[in-house]
Amino acid sequence: MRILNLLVLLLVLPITAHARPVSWPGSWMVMIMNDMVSNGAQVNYTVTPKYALGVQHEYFREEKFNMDAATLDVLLKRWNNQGSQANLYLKSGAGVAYGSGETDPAAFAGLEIDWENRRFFTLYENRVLWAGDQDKFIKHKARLGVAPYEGDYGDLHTWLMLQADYDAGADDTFSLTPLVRLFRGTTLVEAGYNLDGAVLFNFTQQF
Amino acid sequence: MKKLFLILTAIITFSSPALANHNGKSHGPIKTIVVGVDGMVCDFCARSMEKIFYQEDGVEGVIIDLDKESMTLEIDEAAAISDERIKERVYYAGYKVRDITR
Repeated sequence: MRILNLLVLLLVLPITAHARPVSWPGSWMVMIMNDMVSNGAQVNYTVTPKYALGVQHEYFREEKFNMDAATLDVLLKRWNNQGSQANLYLKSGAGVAYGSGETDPAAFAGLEIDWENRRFFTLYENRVLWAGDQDKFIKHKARLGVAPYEGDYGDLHTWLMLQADYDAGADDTFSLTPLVRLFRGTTLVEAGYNLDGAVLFNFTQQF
Repeated sequence: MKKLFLILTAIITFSSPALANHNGKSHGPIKTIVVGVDGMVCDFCARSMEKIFYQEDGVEGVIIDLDKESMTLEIDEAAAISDERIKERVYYAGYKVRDITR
């Protein structure tokens, strides 16, 4: 029973998980997302190798409002090299934000650039959100990761990562989160512990 | 925290479907084509290649080797797939052909 409780807890804990938002054409992706500010989930469908369409729900804990949005994720550029890969993505969405009895139009957009080989991983991402009277912010995120071993296809891959978040408008403008990424096949799980005391758990599944 | 880690490991180990190299078709004589693929550095990339190439007529098996960054296609000997078609499909999956060895 305790294990069941833990599993349920894992599925509702805050997540910031982000595998690549655009996958192979015809595939579906479920992402549960949470960071120090919001909890959310996204389902998307990759239409072509260049873009994916989806829907996203997010709850912003501090400002206490929800946002429902249609999303468009675009692979702007991929650099395929022998032994490494880099990507530039546009992540965007538009919908409505609601809370405290008010409803406002909402939109967000951001760029993500990453580079990885089988041993090292780096990422920078920003996000601008405008939600009328509910909230407005600009956030930045960076990650560094190292794989302690190189697994082959089908093996359990393990990454040790450090994530830095910066939000000039937040109470805690800067935060660091060490985390572990476990990755096998089309399932990705991340768990970490924020230095400010928050547990981090991320989950992505492709179909 | 240790228990959490063990549970996460169990979830990821047992939740993924079996990663099979063959599509389960019975087949006759086959030939192999080894394709070097730039940018194929992770399981998501590998699964993309499998999904795309199993849609091709005559493809009986797709064997991924991340160490060599290569994909071995097992093709029904009666079928034909050109180098151009392989390059097109790899590009469609999001990657780039480095070389093709028949």
